Amino acid sequence: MNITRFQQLLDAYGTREKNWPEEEREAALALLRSDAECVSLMQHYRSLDEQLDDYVTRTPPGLGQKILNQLPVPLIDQIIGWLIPDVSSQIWRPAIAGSLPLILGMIIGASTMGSFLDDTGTENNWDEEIYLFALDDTSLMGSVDE
Amino acid sequence: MDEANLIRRSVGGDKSAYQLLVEHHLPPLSNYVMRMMANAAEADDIIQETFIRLWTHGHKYNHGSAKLTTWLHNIAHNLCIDYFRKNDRLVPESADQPDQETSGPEEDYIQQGMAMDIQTAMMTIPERQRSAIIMCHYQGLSNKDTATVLGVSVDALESLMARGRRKLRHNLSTNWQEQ
Repeated sequence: MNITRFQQLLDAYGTREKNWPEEEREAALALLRSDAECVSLMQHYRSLDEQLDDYVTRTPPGLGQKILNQLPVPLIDQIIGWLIPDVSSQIWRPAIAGSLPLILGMIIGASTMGSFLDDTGTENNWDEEIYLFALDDTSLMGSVDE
Repeated sequence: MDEANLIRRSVGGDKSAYQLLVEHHLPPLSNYVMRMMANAAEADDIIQETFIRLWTHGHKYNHGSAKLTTWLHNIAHNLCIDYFRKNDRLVPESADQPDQETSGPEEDYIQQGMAMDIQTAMMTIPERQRSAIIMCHYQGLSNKDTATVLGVSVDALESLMARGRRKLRHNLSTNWQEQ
């Protein structure tokens, strides 16, 4: 450490010794204790650090909560939230998520059931259907010469 | 609690772990961004985006290569630079005229008196110089961590800070002479 390097440190890092590079701090402090020119340089550079210290900022109140509220929500939670917006307990969510395929199956089942119903709403029998088809099929009768 | 463990839990979707990380890192990071931006609304947006990235991109953080605070400062720094670039407000690094006009600062964020002069003077120096001075002087980041955030060598960092501090001294002394 020499006076040139000491001045470079002040130029770049200022007069706060905690801001100086760790590996040069001890050497710089030793030079400061032994060299009056270093003391004079410190006084010259100190005013900027004091002015910088006057610039105080504070964290806006409520910002932390705002960040937590804005976290992206996973898709499954979005679906559940849409289906059941007032679920207060997290423990029910897996159960509800697990029952979704069952509910979906019931919906699909109910919607396809209509094709098995005739116009009168009575259930058709497959055997009866095949039997009626067979009666209608004249090709089974072969050709009849009159 | 061990920060590495908190990060792992946060990456796994544990909101309580994430909340602890936010509580710990929000004050220093918000101080950095507010000094960089000097505008409350813009600073709010960038702080929020930085922490949302911790939630969504936390898996990209490598605990062995850098401290979490360095990683967060890196994200915040890049977001600030992107913001200034998009809004055509970058201060040229070669600017020899230190007394340029800047956007209006917000008094809520600073103490009265001289602090306003310093804030105004800070906004006239190029962003990388400002960022380097803020990280070293206020944030307590080491020169190596600051150089990592800025993507420069330690020598280049010292050059950036020396130029920035010279401009600040010049601007502040000019302001005082005018008053």
